[in-house]
Amino acid sequence: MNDAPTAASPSPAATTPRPLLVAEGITKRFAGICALDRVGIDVADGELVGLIGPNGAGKSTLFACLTGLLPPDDGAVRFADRDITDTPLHRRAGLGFARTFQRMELFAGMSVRDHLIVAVRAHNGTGSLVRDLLFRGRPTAAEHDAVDAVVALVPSLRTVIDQPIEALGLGLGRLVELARALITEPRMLFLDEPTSGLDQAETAELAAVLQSVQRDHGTTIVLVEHDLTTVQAICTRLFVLDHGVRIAAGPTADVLADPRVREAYLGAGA
Amino acid sequence: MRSTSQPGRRSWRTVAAAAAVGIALITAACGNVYETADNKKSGGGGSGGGSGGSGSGSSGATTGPGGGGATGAFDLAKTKQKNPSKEPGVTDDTIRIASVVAKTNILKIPADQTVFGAQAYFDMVNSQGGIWGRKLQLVSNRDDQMVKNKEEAQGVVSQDNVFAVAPVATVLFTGSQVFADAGIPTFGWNINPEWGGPPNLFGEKGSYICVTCGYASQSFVARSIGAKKIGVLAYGVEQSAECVKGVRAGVERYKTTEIAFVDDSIPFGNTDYSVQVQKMRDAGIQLIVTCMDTSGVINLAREVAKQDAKIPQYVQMGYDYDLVSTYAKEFEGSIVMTQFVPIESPDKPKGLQDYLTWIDKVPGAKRGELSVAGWLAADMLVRGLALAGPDFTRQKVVEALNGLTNWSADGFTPGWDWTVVHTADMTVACQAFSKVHDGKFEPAFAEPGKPFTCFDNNDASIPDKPRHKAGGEP
Amino acid sequence: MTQFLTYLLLGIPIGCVYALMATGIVVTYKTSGVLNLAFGAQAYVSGCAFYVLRSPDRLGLPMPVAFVLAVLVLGPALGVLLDRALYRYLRTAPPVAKLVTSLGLLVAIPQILQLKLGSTPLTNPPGVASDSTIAVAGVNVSTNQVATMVITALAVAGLTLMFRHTSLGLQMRAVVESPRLTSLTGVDAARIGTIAWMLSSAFAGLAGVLLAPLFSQLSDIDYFTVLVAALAAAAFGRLTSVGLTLLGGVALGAAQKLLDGYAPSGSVFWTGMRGSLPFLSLILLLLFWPGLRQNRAAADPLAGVDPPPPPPAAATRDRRLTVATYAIAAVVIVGGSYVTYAVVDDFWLQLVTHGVILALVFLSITLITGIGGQLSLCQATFCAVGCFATAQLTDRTGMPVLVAACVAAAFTAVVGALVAIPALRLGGVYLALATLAFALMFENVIMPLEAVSGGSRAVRVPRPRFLGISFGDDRRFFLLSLAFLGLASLVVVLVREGTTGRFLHALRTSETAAASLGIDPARAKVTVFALSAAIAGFGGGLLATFNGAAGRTFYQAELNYFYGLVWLVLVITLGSQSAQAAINAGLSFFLFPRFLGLIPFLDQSTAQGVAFVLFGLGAITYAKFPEGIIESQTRRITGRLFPSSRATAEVAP
Repeated sequence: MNDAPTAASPSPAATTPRPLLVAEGITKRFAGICALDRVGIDVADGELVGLIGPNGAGKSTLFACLTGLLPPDDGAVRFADRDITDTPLHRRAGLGFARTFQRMELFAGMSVRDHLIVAVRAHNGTGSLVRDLLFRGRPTAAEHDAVDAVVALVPSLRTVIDQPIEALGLGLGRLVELARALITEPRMLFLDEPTSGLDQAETAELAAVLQSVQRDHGTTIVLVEHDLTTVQAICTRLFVLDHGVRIAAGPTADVLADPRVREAYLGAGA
Repeated sequence: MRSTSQPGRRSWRTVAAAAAVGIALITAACGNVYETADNKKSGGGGSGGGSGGSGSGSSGATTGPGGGGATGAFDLAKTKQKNPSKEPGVTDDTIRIASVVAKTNILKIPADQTVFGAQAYFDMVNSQGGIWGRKLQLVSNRDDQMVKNKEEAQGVVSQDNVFAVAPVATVLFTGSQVFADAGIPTFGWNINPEWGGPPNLFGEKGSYICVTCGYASQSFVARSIGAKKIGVLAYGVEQSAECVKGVRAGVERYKTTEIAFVDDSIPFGNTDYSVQVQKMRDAGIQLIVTCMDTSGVINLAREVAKQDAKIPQYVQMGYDYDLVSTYAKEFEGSIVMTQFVPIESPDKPKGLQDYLTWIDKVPGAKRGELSVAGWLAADMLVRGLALAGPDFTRQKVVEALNGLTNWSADGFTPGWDWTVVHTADMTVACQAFSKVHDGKFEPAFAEPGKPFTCFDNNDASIPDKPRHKAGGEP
Repeated sequence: MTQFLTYLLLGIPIGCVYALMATGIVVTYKTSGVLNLAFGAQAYVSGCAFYVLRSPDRLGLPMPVAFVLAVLVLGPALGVLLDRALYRYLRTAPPVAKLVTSLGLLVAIPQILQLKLGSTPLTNPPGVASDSTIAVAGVNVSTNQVATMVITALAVAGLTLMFRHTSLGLQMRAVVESPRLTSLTGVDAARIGTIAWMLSSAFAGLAGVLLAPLFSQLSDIDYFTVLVAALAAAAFGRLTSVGLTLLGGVALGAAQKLLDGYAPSGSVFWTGMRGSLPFLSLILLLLFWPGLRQNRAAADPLAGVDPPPPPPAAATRDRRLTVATYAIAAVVIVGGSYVTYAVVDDFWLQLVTHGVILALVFLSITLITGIGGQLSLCQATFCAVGCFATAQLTDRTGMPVLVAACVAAAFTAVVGALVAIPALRLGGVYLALATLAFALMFENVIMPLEAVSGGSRAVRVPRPRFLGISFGDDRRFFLLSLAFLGLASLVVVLVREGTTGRFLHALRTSETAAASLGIDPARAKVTVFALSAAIAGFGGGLLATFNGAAGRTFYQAELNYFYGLVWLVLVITLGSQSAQAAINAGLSFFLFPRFLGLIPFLDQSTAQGVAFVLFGLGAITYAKFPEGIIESQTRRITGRLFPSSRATAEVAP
């Protein structure tokens, strides 16, 4: 609805960035192939950083290691000065992690509203078998309010909120994933190629949502992206991977101008 | 995760307390219904109750208008009087009878042969005008498919409108209590412990199966064939283990032989007996006693033949023509036991003669243990009817039979004392033995005219010349 | 020492039998992705065919002719039929769906054969050789055994060569991993899939013919018994390596012979060990054998390429349909209950009551499989645990039977949790196998114990009395059972609509996303396992008091592990996700064969066989209609009748 967003200026809150998430020396091998070779990234509180690189560079693998989907063979991940390398996936949500997935991981057979209710209920931890049996398993008013709040953030979902997830197209599906992540009020949000398959309008909406979330809620966001326009527009810093190795890191403009990065994307002689 | 504001915690405690009180109240309100006569429904029907339970038969009248005595001898010619009857299953000209057998079963036991055996007996009676002015007719032949005995029993009782059930022949006799509660005279092939107890369930070899009793027969057979060392094989399930206990008890008591090899924990479903046969051959075993089902016995025999070990088996339930003709070589020299006069006996009692005359007239019938069982079941029914008199009722039939102390079906069986064999073994146990030769049976260890060999369980040893008798001899 | 070696040698013939079966399982899994529990049934078909062709009492054909027809013609023909009719639609389905289909076939195929062959036994089956004896290394073996050993070794060698060195072998493995990707390289995935089924079915035929002489008569249960024992060997081979499988089979046979030779008699421990060796091995291998469970990340890279399947009708239920369903259900329940209570005779009363109790047990399947998304093959075992626990508690302590049933349910819940905890990291088919192994161990080792099932005399169980009302009367007991069924249905609905159900739904459809939200998969699975076991256990307690006794005979007739498979198949056919379907299934199990038997030309045992065939074949539609036949057809029909019902998407054939 707006015109193309411009590069965001650094968030006023992040005057002296403190690293919130630090990963060092992450190494991961799959049957002889080294997917990640001593990769490190650092993200400050309230930052919106991007992770880019050509296909097969290891971005999703790194994401998997950061979010707890895969244990790294070597290296450590620290969050708020705590070592979380070995924390299992389902415990990371308690730390304030939320993520979306490259291949959408939605809950077939549920409506959009149900997705969000599951997320908020898992976040609050208020559900249990005993409560179910005492007729207290139904969605509460508070949960419905939380759903409304998130829909306010992602208005496209308003019209489809009660439709089954299978009836939605790819774009709306990605927004549902995003809303599901946001409803948990995460401290750190990991997005894996969220604009893949979206058209321009949907991409714009997504970018706007991310920026507003970062601005209004102070959420730290790590983004894997191919769409360099979006990256340019919203990320303040970038990390670049190629063949499992970090080849560049720094402010967006500098990294995009780096000849090594160009070469990795476009080949030698670009 | 943490959460739960104050109101939540409070409501938890309230709920827990309420639940505890509720549970206590409910538990106090619960109780059990133990079986009394009041709980049985009139008109029959399967209410709760397990197999077995009530005491042995009453000693009722042993003499009735149609005959009497310890064997219940009767003359069919004297049973022509027709009185009107309101008994279930009795019409003006028919006495209706049902059968429940495991016609379809995965063990492929041809249980329907028992129906043919009963039919043969009924044919014999009907050809002489029937009994009490009525013909005996099998109006309902139910196939319990081995696992649905209780359902079919319920069907007989609720739907078939029959006077009696003859025969019942099945592997899993889950319907025994249904028949017991209904008081319906029930006769059949006793291979299940559920026959024992209720006074109206009559198995063709008594209703009691004692697995651990120190039967003398194994020791006698061992001595008779000169086996100084025997081997015992059983599955690792409780019933097999109990059988082994019985064998051990007998051997220890009678000391005619020793057990030189035991394997009582063979996994059920085992098909390979190579180790056991090797060990037995090495140990010089001369006779194998098995507490296993037919497929185990067959596989064992095949392994013995394969290893050329030349060890016969004593197969208590082996009187099966198909078995020994198919596996003639494997069972050569083995001994089987029957509790009726073997068909091959040179001196055939009247009961056996009648059976042979009439069984061949039933289409599809085959001579053998199963059709004999059906014949014997029918014999009990008819005998009970005769003894009960022209105003027969189910109750009278049951009581008449339960007064017989030496039922032998005209010499066919050794003589069962129905005042005892609902719940216990008889003190004197009689069996007939046959040896397998050339794929056929030959009577063994008997005397002319006296096919049964008897052992008194009170004796501490087996006499050098054990007592022989004919069926129905006192 | 020589005795040790002798026992080892004696283990080879039976070990090769296991290896043959296990290799068949591995080959099928490797070339089609299906853990084919119906392999034994397929073997049985060829075994019967060979018997009919070869036996002098039947057609008496020469051995080579009979062999070729039964193994090389009938086997592949059956394989083509299975592939074209069923498995080709399941190529991209999850492994659990394929397993369910094979379970349905396991139930249906032997019944179909039974209906065709009748009940005359096929005794003393002939083998491929003359069954004379020859001496090998000081041990007497039969020529059939030698044939089995030689052919097994050759088959293993041939298959290994094929998989490693031929392009066909490579193509078959590739098609399993990713049909799309393989097609892109110019390979006709459908054709390769069919060839794979022909190969594995021919192997089943081979197993059927070679194993036949082991048994004194042919029966499908015997083949299945060998199969479940052979699963341990297949697990040893990691479900991929044919050579390791052969080794595993031989090792299993040798271990059995060593136990035969050395285990002392009269010891409960060794008896249990001998009875449970294959199943215990299977469980241990499933849990600890490295490399057995593939990394889930190694999924088909092109799996997302196909257009997503049309929305399952489950998601798109019209409000009016739901209301109508409830209304109809109310009428049927009230009317049916009245008729049962007041009108019908004891025979039908017993059947309906039995069906009502079984429906309660089936609700446990709804819970664990429909809602929990786990395939549990041991629900009959949980039912039996509750049944025997109730009986023993009442018998030994005089406790009120309803209270005993509740205590038994709690005990069964603990058992369920104990089964679930190690099985947690197993998923899908491996969990199913672990539950099957548990069921077999219970049946072979625990159930026969006198302390459990009462020895030769069953344990008596009284009827309940509550608030002074005696439920010894069967009609009142029927009402009591109905009340409990209603309660259990309520529990299942509450769980499904509550947190537990929602979380399980999330875990079922995307465990990764659910875990990333903070849902603990382990805790959720153990909870649902325990609750499901509790319900099954309570149902078992009700069965015990209904029957009046609980013993070995009762177990074998009603609660054996094979029935547990039939139950699962039936519930899945009718719809594993709704309580209504479970209730239908419970009643159908007893009533449907009886209704069929009312048809004039059908005798009762034929009706039973037909009923089982239908139960089994229904499960085959699981992949297309995961919500069950009833639900999908209902929506289809109402969608046609009332086209205005929005968003009722047709499922494309």
